[in-house]
Amino acid sequence: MTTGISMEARVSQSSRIAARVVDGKAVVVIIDTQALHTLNEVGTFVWELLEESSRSVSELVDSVEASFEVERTRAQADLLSFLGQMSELGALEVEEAA
Amino acid sequence: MTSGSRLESAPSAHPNRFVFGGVAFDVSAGPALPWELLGDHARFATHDDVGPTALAVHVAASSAPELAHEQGREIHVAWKGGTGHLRTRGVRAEVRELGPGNFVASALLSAADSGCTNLCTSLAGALIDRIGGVVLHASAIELDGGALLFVGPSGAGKTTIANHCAGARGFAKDRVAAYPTPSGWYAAPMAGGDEVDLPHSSERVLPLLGVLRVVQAERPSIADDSPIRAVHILRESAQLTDRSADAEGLLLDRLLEMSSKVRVGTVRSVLGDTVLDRLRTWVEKR
Repeated sequence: MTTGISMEARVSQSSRIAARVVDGKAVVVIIDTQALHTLNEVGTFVWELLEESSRSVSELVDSVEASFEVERTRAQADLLSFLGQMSELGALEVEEAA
Repeated sequence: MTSGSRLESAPSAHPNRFVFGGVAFDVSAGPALPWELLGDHARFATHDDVGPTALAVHVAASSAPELAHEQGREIHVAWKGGTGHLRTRGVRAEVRELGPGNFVASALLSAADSGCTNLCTSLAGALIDRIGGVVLHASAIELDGGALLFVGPSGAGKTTIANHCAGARGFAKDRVAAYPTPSGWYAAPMAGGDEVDLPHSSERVLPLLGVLRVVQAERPSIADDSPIRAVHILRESAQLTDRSADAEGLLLDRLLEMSSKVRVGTVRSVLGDTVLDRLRTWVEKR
């Protein structure tokens, strides 16, 4: 999947969401669409990283690679797909570097 | 919540003292504001003393003719410390929290026919919300002294499944206030929705037995849901008028707390199937 998101882009949580972690999984409500999504283990890991502050895509790939037994190319592809989906849903904001 | 914070036992049929939506109202209305509950509000109110299973609010209400021409159905509530400001069509109210489950309010109402009922609905919802409860879009039956709620989106079959509970009593048609008390979670019917084709329960506050998401299926079943699924089910049916991220987060917290105390499951029903025995078995299986 091509998302058009670069490794230098900065990712942050949208201000129009509410989320809580239930049984180790993030439950995310997107306020403007009233949609509710449950993230898997890796998605929850990324979500919690973004709770602290915005991160670049490459920082997120580093963290996922370091915390899960996954090759970097696979981590990068899965992460870009996840970020693209969450951005499209309105849960994340992605800002490309100037 | 102490008994001392409750309303004194009300004289029967005193029009200004009643319980509606889990809240015991004691209303002092000025002479320019004839107080009358209409329609479902009158039906789902009781003059019985339900003791500490309801919140208590004393309302001093005054007429405000200038509010008579307002439009819209939105309800806005903002709390700062122990004081809340409520605004909806034909109603302005300031509410102070005196203690756990005990409130006092001053209200301006339009003297139009819906002014009093708008106050009851909006104030009950705001107070239920304030103490960690939630108003659910649900039908409900009275079953063995408790309330069993059916939830789901429009068309899921909430009213249909209630109609197939021959032997039970209809408790709520469309909206239910669910709230915590020191003796557990309770449920109270609120106004609105299609009539349930069962004899009516005379109870207006009952212990909450559980919440079941209705799904039409080819094979009937009833099962408890996981905590995550429970939050999904409750959020899908919870009423929230404030669309801010803070309000949504607080609602998630309340639903998490509720799902840790109240059983939430899914009932798969077959059209035309009588489900009461299976519902009773699920309720009794604790």
